[in-house]
Amino acid sequence: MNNKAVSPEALRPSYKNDRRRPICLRRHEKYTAVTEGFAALICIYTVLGDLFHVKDKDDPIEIAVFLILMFGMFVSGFIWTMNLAAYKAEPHDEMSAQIKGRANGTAFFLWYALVMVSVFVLEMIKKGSVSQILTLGNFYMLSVGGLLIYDAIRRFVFLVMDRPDKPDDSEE
Amino acid sequence: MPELKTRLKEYRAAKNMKQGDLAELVGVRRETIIRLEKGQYNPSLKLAMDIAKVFGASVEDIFSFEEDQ
Repeated sequence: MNNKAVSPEALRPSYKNDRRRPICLRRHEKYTAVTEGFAALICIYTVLGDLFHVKDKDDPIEIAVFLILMFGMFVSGFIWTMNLAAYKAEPHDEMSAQIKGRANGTAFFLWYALVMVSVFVLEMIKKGSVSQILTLGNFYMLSVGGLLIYDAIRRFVFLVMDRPDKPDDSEE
Repeated sequence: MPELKTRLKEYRAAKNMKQGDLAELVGVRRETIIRLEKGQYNPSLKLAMDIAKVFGASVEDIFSFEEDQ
């Protein structure tokens, strides 16, 4: 909880002492989710590339896709870090913490469904592909990718749940 | 389920205060104040008391629950 006192002088001392302008929580979540999304896609693409294109490492399409994903991750990561350097991140308040908790649960079900669908699709495309993916070499990239996807989904679900119903017309 | 009724908007308008200013004073985000004003979020007792203190009113003056018909 951040609402420790009413007086602006006493309120959130560490936050107040930081002279940088605040970046709103929603924007911070968006930047993080997009960067994580690109990073996760790279991990998953690497795993799937190992599975389906072992002998086509010089395939220009494969290289182009990888470069696009890398470029996307670096651009979004650059924007993310520059914003964090220029602004202070707005802390969670009681409502956002509550919504984040609900988003965690929903994100887990979405993530689990995505994993299940991916397993079935991969097995349909290539029999035995899932056990091939779960080899030690791929497993590291797969776990990192899985965690990043879960966190990105969690942040997107939070953004959806936290979105106001309609624009507020009362604000001056 | 009792419905949350709030006079937060009236009190804020009387003090000529923006949602962002009130949010800053009580240490929450502006989105939280927006939802509070629309009755879409039940505040914690701490937040309700902080808001009441800002307006020099009691919690019951600003927030109340109305039973469904």
